[in-house]
Amino acid sequence: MIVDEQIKMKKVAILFRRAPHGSPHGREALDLALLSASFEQEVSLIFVDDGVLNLVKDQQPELIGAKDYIATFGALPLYDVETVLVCEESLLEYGLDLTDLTIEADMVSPSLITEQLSKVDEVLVF
Amino acid sequence: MNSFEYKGEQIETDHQGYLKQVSQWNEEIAELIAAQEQITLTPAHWEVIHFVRDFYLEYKTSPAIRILVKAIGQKLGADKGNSKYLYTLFPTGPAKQATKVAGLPKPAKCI
Amino acid sequence: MNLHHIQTSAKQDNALACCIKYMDKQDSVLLSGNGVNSLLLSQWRERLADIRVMLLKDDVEARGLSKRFKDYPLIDYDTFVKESLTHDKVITW
Repeated sequence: MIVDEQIKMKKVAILFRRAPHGSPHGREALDLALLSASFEQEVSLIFVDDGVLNLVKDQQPELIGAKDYIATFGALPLYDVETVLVCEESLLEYGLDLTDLTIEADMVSPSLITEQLSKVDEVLVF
Repeated sequence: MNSFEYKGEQIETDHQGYLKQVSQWNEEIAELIAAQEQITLTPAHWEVIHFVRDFYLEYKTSPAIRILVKAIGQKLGADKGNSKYLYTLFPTGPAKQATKVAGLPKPAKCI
Repeated sequence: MNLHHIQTSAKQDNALACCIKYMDKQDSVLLSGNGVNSLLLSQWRERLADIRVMLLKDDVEARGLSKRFKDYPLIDYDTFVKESLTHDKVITW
């Protein structure tokens, strides 16, 4: 029973840099985030570049035969994933602001993302 | 492909008995799946079954056990939000069994 | 200090651009596979000019680029492993 094992708490950052639905990366990234969080790792999510498009609200991926993992972002608070950083430059580039996003997130500068990448134990890029 | 018959219709499942189509589920089908799992459904079971099904329909994912325990605690009270209570209802693993009876896919890496 | 690993060329994927944008300038970059091709392009040589860059030797030689990259450190797999241990972590973009 895996549940009872003691697992060392690690800080894991999961970085989304690709657009959703064109590849499985976004869904895999979120699966890994939830799995890590359910084993009580301290998970933070970072959205940069095309990756910010994962968070656009009102998506209907099923129309193009893709799985609707976007709805699953809503479960992050239940998994105690509280750190969600979105690059302000990437948002600006796409003409988006926080009100266009499907979940609450912190809009941060690239240098703050650099800081986050340095202070966590592991970074996984999707 | 595994399947069972319900009112003359074939209901497809995966090899472990989880429904292939979430939308094919209804409470009678839940009773059939529960019988296969040797569970007699009580109101306490239904509360959890509806909870996991609502969770899935909102978030499009089946909750892992820790999350199930926590979210049930928040919604139905601390006396129900613990794994001991859930194991008395679903002896071979609450997340695994409740999602199966609720017509949902098997949660990833869970018991 | 992190070691950033890039396996794709800058023309093929945004990995290198993304890495440069968000990395700490004290970090190191390892280019392997088609990632080594980016250094053939002057714009990427310039953007990497102030950063410690290493190339995986086999990938450079396999592509016939040893002479072009004679000014860069070419490392073998053993050195890659050593480098990954002297950095806090490896980030694969």
